[in-house]
Amino acid sequence: MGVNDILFQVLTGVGKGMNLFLLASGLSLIYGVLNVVNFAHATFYLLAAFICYSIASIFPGGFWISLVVAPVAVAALGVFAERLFSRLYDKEHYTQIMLAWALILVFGDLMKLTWGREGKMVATPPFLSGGIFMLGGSFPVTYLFVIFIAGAVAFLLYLALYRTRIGIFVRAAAADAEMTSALGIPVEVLYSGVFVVACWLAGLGGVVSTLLSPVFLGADLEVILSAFIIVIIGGMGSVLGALIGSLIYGVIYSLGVLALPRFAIVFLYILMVLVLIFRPYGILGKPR
Amino acid sequence: MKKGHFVICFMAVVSIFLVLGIMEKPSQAADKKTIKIGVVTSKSSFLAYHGKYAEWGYNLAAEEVNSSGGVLGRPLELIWRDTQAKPDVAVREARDLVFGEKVNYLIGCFITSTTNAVSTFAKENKILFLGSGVGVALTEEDGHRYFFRLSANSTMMAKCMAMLVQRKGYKKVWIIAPDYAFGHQWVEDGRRFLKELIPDVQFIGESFTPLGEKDFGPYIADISREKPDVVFSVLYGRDQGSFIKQANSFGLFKKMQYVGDFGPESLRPYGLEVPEGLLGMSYYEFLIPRTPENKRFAENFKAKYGDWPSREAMHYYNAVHLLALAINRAGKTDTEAVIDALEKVHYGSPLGELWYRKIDHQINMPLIIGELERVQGAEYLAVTRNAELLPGEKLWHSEEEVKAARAKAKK
Repeated sequence: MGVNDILFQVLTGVGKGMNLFLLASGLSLIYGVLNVVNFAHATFYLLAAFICYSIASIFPGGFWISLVVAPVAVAALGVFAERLFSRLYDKEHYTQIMLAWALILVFGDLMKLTWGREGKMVATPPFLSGGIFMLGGSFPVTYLFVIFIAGAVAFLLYLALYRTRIGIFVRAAAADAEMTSALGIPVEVLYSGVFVVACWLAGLGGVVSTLLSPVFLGADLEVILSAFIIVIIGGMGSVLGALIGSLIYGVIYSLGVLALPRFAIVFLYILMVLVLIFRPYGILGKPR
Repeated sequence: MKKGHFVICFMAVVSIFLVLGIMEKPSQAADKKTIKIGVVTSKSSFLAYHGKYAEWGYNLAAEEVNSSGGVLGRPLELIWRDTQAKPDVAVREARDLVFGEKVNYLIGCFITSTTNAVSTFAKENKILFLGSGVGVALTEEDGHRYFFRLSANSTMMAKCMAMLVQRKGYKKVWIIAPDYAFGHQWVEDGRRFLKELIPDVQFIGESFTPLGEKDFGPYIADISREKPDVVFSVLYGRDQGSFIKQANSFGLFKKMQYVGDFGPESLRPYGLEVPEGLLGMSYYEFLIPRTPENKRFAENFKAKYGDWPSREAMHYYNAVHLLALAINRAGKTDTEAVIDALEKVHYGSPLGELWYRKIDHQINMPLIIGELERVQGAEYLAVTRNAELLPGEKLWHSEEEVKAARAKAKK
């Protein structure tokens, strides 16, 4: 096995991680700013994937339309969900989890009613099918596209948080909401904005995920688990941590498959346990 | 609410129930003579898609039997219950059907876990049960007088897939399977048959993937590098869907073949995202066998329900007809007599003649091997190109093997 083979495997892992980053970044952002553990986050992801399926089955080139429309649609729904969560911002985490669970069940049933219980396949757009020859193998364009989109989102998030005035407000609200509010900044509006942006990210992740796998009910609960591991490794509340966590997640899994396939998933849990023991707030998180 | 209002509301509700109760009675009296069959199958859960076809299959057969005068002059009545694909729910519903609804026989279940649970219940209570889980132990180690299997079993399927690899002359095999009991059992069988049929077979590698894996990229990169002739896959449902979609984007199928479980219930939801020409094992295709009987059945089904029949539709259609034949032959509805008859009847199904082997109550269900091809006028593929129908008698364990398995389990 040569260097190229290992690099190819690493690149595959990067693709896997970057797809999850779109979900994990929003989860982390919501926790960091709003102090809410939103387990229902992946439900928006799944909803966007189903919307993508519907649009793609009506219009030719529907994937591209839904890449724009579906995240906006679930972000609009996010406005409504945020209003519900806003009543629980200062409450215990378990009450927030109860609400998140309720949302998962309600939206889960609504999706079941609308799209039925069978898995749905979204046809890969011709522009993204096939592969590019690199590192001694054919690397799929869909994975490159996922890496590109997630990379662009990471860059834009960085710009928004660290290079704009609103970003400064958001970080200030995350550090000390009361003080920020006292300075005359509408913290409530910031909260809504962050929640909606996070939902938009989840929606984007959902649409992009249709390039890789069928859309099926219950997928939200599976991916939220991965996203949660990522956020714990990377650090709750840190978007950069989510990026690092996603890459670690994808690459370790991918190399694990190469080395000891049966234990690929175990490596991740071991890593998570190590992080929890030695740095319980994650690689880039801050102790609270 | 005032106390008086509450009492009135309460009385109103009670009287509605009373009226409903009275209304139900005469209809029960009228149906006294029906032969009741309890159907435990999954209409919710991840098996809902299977359940839909199963229901169509049962209903079509029951209508056919009833319109030709019923059984012993009495109409069949099907009573439905949902298992939610959970063993405990399946047993609870079966119990209620037997003791509450007083059904004569049970049909149903789809996965091994629920079938096994209801089979145990049937054994303890001496109720005839026709079920369709595929785990081979259901009719071997755990087999008993009251359980009849409606479908082929996992050993027969593994053998079919091995035969397909042999037919193509492949030597280098990569095995991929979901990482749980059923996947491992199937892989063990597959490996044995591959060795038997292809003495110089090489097992290049294997991947056991977590159930519900969404991203097979790392596995595919690994397989792609090792260049086997064929990927021998036990993945099914959405796992297989994800794998194929991603393998396609990695260009895996340009380098190697793939053999998998492509029953209609698996294949149809994938739509046209699966490339034509992959190798598949299937339980039933409405085009195979290309006989007038099968064609008539398929067209009748399509006209009625709007889609071509699938595996589950076929299995449950057969179940109702087999049971009706057995009751007619026994001349009475007594369970023991019907079981004796069911061991002897031969039923001319759309697939050909079906019958049960006495030793293990395994049906001689044929299986299909071939290549994927788009179904004309439909948005999905089927295993119809170069397809071959393999009789169940050529695939199942011999009577000696069944006895050996049972003796081993007793130790």
